[in-house]
Amino acid sequence: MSDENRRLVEAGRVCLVNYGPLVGKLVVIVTIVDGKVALVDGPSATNPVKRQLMPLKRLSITPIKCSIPAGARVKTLEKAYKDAEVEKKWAESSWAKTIARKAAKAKLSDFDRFKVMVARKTRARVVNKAIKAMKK
Amino acid sequence: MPPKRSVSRAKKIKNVALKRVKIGKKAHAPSAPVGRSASYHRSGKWAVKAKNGGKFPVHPKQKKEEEKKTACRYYPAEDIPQPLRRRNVNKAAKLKANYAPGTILILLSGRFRGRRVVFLKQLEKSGLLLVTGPYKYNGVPLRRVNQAYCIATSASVSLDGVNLDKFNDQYFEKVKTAKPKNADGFFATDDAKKELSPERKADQKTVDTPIIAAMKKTEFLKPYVSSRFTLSKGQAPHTMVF
Repeated sequence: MSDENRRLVEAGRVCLVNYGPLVGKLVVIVTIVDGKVALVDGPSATNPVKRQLMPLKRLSITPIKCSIPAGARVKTLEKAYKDAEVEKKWAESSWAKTIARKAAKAKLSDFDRFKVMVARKTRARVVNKAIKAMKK
Repeated sequence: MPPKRSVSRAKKIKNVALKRVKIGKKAHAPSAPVGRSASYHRSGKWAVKAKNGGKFPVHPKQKKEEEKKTACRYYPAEDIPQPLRRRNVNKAAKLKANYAPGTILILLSGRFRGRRVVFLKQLEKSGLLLVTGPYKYNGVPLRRVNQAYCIATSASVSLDGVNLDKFNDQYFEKVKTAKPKNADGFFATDDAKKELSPERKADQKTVDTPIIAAMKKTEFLKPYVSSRFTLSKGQAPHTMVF
């Protein structure tokens, strides 16, 4: 892996909160406090997170980064967040899509699950038939 | 301390003995006649009978109810169990918020467990839910179920044109047939299979017909209701949305 693609804990690194009340939200590391804790801020307009300290254990590091100096103010961060198109990049990532897909699946009603089951069976029938025909 | 005696003990014994001797002299005098009729004559019962028209006078029996009314002077020595007065009245259960007529329910207990059925209405007296399969789709007849043993799904059917005025708790009550109370009756088996009355069959049809018609409007609803609900690997009912 080249140095550019390495995911480092650094100022401007976008992370996903994976534990606690803010689970599922995007935050940006503003400063690293020590080996275990970082100051984070979520400048998103739709899903904001207040500037606060957070243990690094609760953060999953994403490949996305916005360019800010360490300890940047809120306004500077907001601008950098927008310029880097963080939310757009995140929404396009397969990671975000997987999360969205899982959430949608959990919301399915009993009848919906049945319809999915029927659709899966129908697809399998068609695919198997085609494969069988190709084998001959 | 023993109580004071008015007569000395020795004197008392003597008096009793004297009394006995006196009676004995009269009754068992050698001159007195011996036998049943003689002793009867001596008892004087004949005189009492003659006075009352040839019969012994009998005290009229007191009615038991009157006896009950007189309060007992003493507490009974032993505890007599007295049943407590029941004050609770069985109220019909409140219908859960996500249950509405036409909702499709999943039955969780009984011989139709796992079946998806159509909820018709709540019965007033017992609070049980009236459901139907429809019978043609999954074999569940018009039936009462407890809402505690159901899961309400978000799927529903329109109940337009379904008349349910006829159905109440009385409709589902069993008709008891008396068996002879001897040993033969006890061991007797019901050989004759119970036939469903034609009235019930007709009711089933009249209720199900409009429901089936409404179900046909939604795709996959028929196979959905015909199939059974099961949990598969990794599914926990408390985390699932129905």
